[in-house]
Amino acid sequence: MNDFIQLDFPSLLLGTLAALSCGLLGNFLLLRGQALMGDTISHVVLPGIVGGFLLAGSVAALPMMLGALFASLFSVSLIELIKRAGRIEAGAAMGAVFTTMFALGVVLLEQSGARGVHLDVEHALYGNLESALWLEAESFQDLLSFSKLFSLPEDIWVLFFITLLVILFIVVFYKPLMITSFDAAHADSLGISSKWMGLGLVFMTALSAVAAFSAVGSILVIAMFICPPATARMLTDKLSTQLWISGFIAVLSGISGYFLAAFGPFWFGGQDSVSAAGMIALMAGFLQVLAMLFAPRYGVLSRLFFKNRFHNQ
Amino acid sequence: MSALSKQSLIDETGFISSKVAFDVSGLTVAYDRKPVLWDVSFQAHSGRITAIVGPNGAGKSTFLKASLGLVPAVTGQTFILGEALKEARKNIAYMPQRASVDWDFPASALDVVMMGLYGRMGFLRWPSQHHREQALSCLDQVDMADFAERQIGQLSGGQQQRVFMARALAQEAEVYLMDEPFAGVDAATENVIFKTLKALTAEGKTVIVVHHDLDTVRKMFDDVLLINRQVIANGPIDDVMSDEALRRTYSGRLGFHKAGEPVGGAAVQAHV
Ligand SMILES: Nc1ncnc2c1ncn2[C@@H]1O[C@H](COP(=O)(O)OP(=O)(O)OP(=O)(O)O)[C@@H](O)[C@H]1O
Ligand SMILES: [Mg+2]
Repeated sequence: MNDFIQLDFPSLLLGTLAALSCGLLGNFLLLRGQALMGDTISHVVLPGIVGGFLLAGSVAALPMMLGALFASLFSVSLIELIKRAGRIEAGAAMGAVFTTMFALGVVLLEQSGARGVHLDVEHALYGNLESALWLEAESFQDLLSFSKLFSLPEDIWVLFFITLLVILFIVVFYKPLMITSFDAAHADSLGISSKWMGLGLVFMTALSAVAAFSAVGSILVIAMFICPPATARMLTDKLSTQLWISGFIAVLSGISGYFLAAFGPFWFGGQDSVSAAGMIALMAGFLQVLAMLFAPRYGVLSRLFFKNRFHNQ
Repeated sequence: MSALSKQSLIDETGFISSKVAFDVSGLTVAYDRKPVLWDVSFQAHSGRITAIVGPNGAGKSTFLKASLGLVPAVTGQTFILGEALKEARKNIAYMPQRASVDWDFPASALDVVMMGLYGRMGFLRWPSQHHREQALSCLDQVDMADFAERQIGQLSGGQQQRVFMARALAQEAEVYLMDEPFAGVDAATENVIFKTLKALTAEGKTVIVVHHDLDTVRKMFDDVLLINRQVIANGPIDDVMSDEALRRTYSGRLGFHKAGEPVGGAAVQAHV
């Protein structure tokens, strides 16, 4: 049990928080046809993170985080610029920017490799969930002790506050987020600025992508921006319900994915655990496939069923 | 048409007796430096229903959007009941073309009508039972109360149009600007929407409608704005909607048209 609280619990928390913050924001990205935005940001943060690392000369969270935030805001502006100046469609502009920025990140990484600090491409793709440790903890009771909780890794705290911020953002701006996502022109006519709401959303997306990225890597970030909201959309026609379901699915993927990765291989007689971030993303995808098949109204099976019944009558 | 002749028309008919509620002056709009609207001035009067008529691509939608500041204008000003646009948001209800939104959005008919209330609801206010009832009564006015909980994508085109109408009603505005509310609807829906608009004008509200069907313009509207990149005519239908004016609206003799753009269709020829 000691092992669990020291080794597994922090990783579990990190993965779940990352899934939750990205999964919730993804709802609005999806509704605005900006699913690629999560993808973009999770790639463009790489040069920022490496740049921050190179400048600071150590793997400190803050400079890397600032670098990442700077890189994502820079990229978003660049995308806008390319869209307007080059009259290029949004998807193409995002694609151009994020591949270039990611490539820049990889090149910078090679430079950093020379300094012999742990920062590599795999880390960027899969993150490093398992490295989160809480050695100060002794038992579950420590979860109730403030002083002990403060000894949780910095990464977790950062992600925790950002997740709180995301939830607060969605609750406070629920109405403007909804109306600007549904009908931007109508929202603007009411004096609810779709532009500012869109910028706010991109900023929050950048913030949570950056915080999640260093913990869980780009694959999980991308998966979480898209899978839980897309799954939830199949299960309801109401936005508030969709938000709840997507949050639930994000947490479910986080927990089940982590357990399967950490303990699953042993249950099947394997030796090593597999990448937790990868497994969480896999679970999110798996849940989405389930929803696509079995969702009451939009699922493939129920549609087939109703179609057959209709034909037979 | 010169400003002078327009003025004289107005004076003859006593057009000016009702209050100017919507006043746009010198509106010029360009997309990518290509002018779409050129020096458009237009006035609509309270208690009257105005049709905006012109061929596809004439800039009708652009006119509505730019006059509300939804797309940037090169020049031009809008006054609503004497107030500048910024102060007058609450007095405007704008209804975009139906095709402009994603009907797969996870919202019910009632949710969409509630959005009409957001402008007046405080920023942090959560919609209450009172707001729900208000929205429901707006749906009821367009005979859509039975569909309140239906997801909007599962409504017919005409029903969607009615939901949009109800959302505009919920705004309790003074000036209603509707972009093609009658496009693709059947006689029953046309009737409901028309009656609703008429009821608004009876309360002294101002209604401005982009309209495509030349056959029904005379029957349904009081005033007309004939537009094709610039104003051809603006005033009471009986005075300004001459065959000559219509021909000028639809024949594209204004020099703005480029090859390949629609210039007046069969509808005009049949009419003129
Ligand atoms: N976002 C845009 N960017 C560039 N050009 C545009 C844009 N929107 C409209 N246009 C152009 O401006 C002109 C006017 O368009 P607008 O939509 O205002 O016409 P409309 O009178 O409403 O036409 P319709 O009857 O088809 O609705 C058209 O030539 C159109 O191609
Ligand atoms: Mg139009």
